[in-house]
Amino acid sequence: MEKELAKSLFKVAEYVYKIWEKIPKIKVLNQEITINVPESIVVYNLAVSIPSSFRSIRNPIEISAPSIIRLSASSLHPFPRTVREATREVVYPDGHRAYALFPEFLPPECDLISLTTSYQIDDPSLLDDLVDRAKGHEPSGPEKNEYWMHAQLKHPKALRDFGFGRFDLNDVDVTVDVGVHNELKTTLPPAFISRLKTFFGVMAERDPRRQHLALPKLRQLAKEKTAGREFKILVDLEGLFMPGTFSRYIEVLKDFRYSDCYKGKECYELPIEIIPKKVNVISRADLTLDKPAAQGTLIYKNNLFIEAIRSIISSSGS
Amino acid sequence: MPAESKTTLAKPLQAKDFLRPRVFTYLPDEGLQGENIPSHILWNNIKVESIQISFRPPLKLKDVFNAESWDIHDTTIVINKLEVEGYVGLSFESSKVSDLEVTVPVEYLITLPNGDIIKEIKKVRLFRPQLELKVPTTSISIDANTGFIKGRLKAKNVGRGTLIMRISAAEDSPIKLETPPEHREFAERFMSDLQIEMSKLADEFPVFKPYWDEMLIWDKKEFMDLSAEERSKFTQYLNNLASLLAGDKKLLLGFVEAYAKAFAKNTELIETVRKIISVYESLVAKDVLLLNPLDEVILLDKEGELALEISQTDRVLDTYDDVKLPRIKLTSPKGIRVPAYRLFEWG
Repeated sequence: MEKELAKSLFKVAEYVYKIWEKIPKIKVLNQEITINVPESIVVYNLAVSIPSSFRSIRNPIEISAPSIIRLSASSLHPFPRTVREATREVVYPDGHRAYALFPEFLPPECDLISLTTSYQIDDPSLLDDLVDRAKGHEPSGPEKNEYWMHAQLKHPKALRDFGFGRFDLNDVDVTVDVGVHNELKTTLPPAFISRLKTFFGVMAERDPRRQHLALPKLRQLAKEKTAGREFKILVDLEGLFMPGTFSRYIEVLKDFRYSDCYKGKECYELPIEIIPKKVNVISRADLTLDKPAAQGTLIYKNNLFIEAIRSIISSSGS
Repeated sequence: MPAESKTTLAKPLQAKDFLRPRVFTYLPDEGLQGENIPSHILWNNIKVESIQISFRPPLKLKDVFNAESWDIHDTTIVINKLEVEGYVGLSFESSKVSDLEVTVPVEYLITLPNGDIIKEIKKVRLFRPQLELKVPTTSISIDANTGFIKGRLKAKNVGRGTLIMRISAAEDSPIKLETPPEHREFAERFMSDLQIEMSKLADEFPVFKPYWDEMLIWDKKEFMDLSAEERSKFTQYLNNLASLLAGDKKLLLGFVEAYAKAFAKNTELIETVRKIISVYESLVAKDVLLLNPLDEVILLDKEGELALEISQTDRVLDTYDDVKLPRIKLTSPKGIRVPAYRLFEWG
C-alpha cells in the first residue's frame, strides 16, 4: 500500500514538474549600469519580461544596494506606463532593507518591465577598482605647458560577462597639479616683493624699543609711488586663482573636458599659501565598454597667465 | 594685402569609414622618471590573433588589462588571448636613472589571423631634475649693513622638472638654522584652527573622517625623512584624497572653505604680506622650490662655522641622496640673521 502511495505521489510530482517546466520564466533581457562619478551615484537599469501567467507564485525581483536613493518601475509593453504599485520596500528581521518588484501586483497585461534604481556609492575606492588612472606630474609638449591625462577600464570582461548591455562610467576624474610657481617667480617684480618685505619687517617689529628704528623705513615706504597699492595687487593676484578666473588659462583637449579647479596645497607644506604654487585642475572623461580607454591633454596657457599678472601689476602702477 | 584664406570642408563620413580597420596606440610623449606611464591599444573592425609589446628599462611592466592569457619575457609582453576584443590596457612603472633624459621606445606588434602584422612604435622621453652644487670657497662674508654676501655657494637645477628641496644644518654644525618665531607662531595658530574646521568637516562627511585622521598622522612626520615605501604610501594617500574630493563637489567646497576659514581667522594684513613673501622666496629659481625659505642662519658673534645639508625630492616624491656640504666659515662685522637660501647663488 505504502509503495503504491509513494508511486502515486511520485507521478503527481512528475506531473507538477512538467507543468512547471512549461510555465514561461522571467527573463532578464538587459542590464545597464551608469556610474556618475561626481555625484557618486550608480544608476542600474534592468529590463525583464514577466509572463502574465502564474504571477501569484512567482518570486519577487529583489534589488538590494547599500544606499538606495530611488527605485522606479515602468511597463514598456503593451504601452508605456508606470507600475510603481508593484514595488515595495522589504525589511528583513536582521534589519537588512531591499526593494522588490512583486509580479502579483503588476497589471495583468504588463509583461515587459523596466526597473531603474539609483544608489549612492559609499566607498570612494570603488572607482580605483574599476579604472586605472594616470597623469603627467610635470608639464611637457613643445612649449612645456601640457599635462597628459589617462584613464582606462581594468576589467571590461567582468562587466560584459555579467550581462551588462551597457556599462557607462560618466565623468571619471583625473586631477592634475598645474605648477604656477615659475610664472609667479618670473613675473612678479623684485621691487614689489622688496617693498612688501620692508613693510613686513616694519609691522612685525614687536619690541617697542626697536619700533622707532623702523619709522624711517615706514616713511620711505609712504613716499613710494605705489604706496598703498600693494594690497590691491595681492587681492587681485589672489583673484587669479579663483576657479572661474583660473579656468580661462586652462584648455582640456581630446577625450577629457575641464570640470573644476581649486588652489593646490603642496603635500609637504602646511599651512596653505594664499598665493599657491600650484592649482589642482579636475578634468573628466567618460568610459564605456565600447570606449574603455580615454586620453587627454590639459594645456596651461601660461603666457596668458603671465600677461594677467603683468596687467595687475601695471594697472596698479607698480 | 591680407593673406588669402583657404577653407577646407571636411568630407562627410561614409558608412564604409565606420567599417575601415582602425588601430590606435597610446603612450605619452614625455614623463617624469619615477611616474607611472600608461598605454593602451584600441582597434575596430579587425580580428586580432595576438599582440606583442616590447619596451626597455627604465620602464617596468606594472599591469596588463583585458588580457586573458599573456606572458612576459624580460621586456617583451606577448598576449595570446584577450578577454574582450578591441582593447588592451597597459601600465608601466618608470624609475630614476643616471641620465637626466632617456628616450624609451615601445613597439607594438599586432598579428592578424591571416599572418599580417601591424607594427607601431611610440617613444616616451623620461626626464628628471638634478641639483648641481658648487662650493667656490669655504668662507662666506656678510655685510651686516648692506646685506651683501660674498663667496656664495652656487646651486642650479641642471635637469628638467621641479626640484623640491630643504636646506638644514647638519647635526654637528656649530651654527643652527631657525624659523623666525613670528612665522612659526602663525603656522601653529593656523594649524590649530585648521584642525577645528577639518574636524567639523569630518563630522559632516563621515567618508572624509579616515582621510583627515590619516592627514594628521602624516602631518606629524617630517616629509623629507620619509622612506621610499612611506613616500609611496603618502603618494597613494594624496591620490585617494584628490579622488575623494573630485568625486564629491560638496566635500570639495567644504575642504577648500575649511582652509579659507582657518586662514581668515588668522588673517591680519601682516599675515597676508608674510604669505606672499614666503611663496616668492620659496621659488628660489626656475624649477626649484625650497621647503623652508624662511629659515635663518643666526650668527651670534662675528664669525662661526656652518655645515649645511640639502635633502631633495621631485614631483613624484622620489628619493634622492642627501647632499652634505663642506663646513663653511661665516664672518660678519656683527651678529646677524640671514635666510639660509641667501647663502646660495641660484642659477
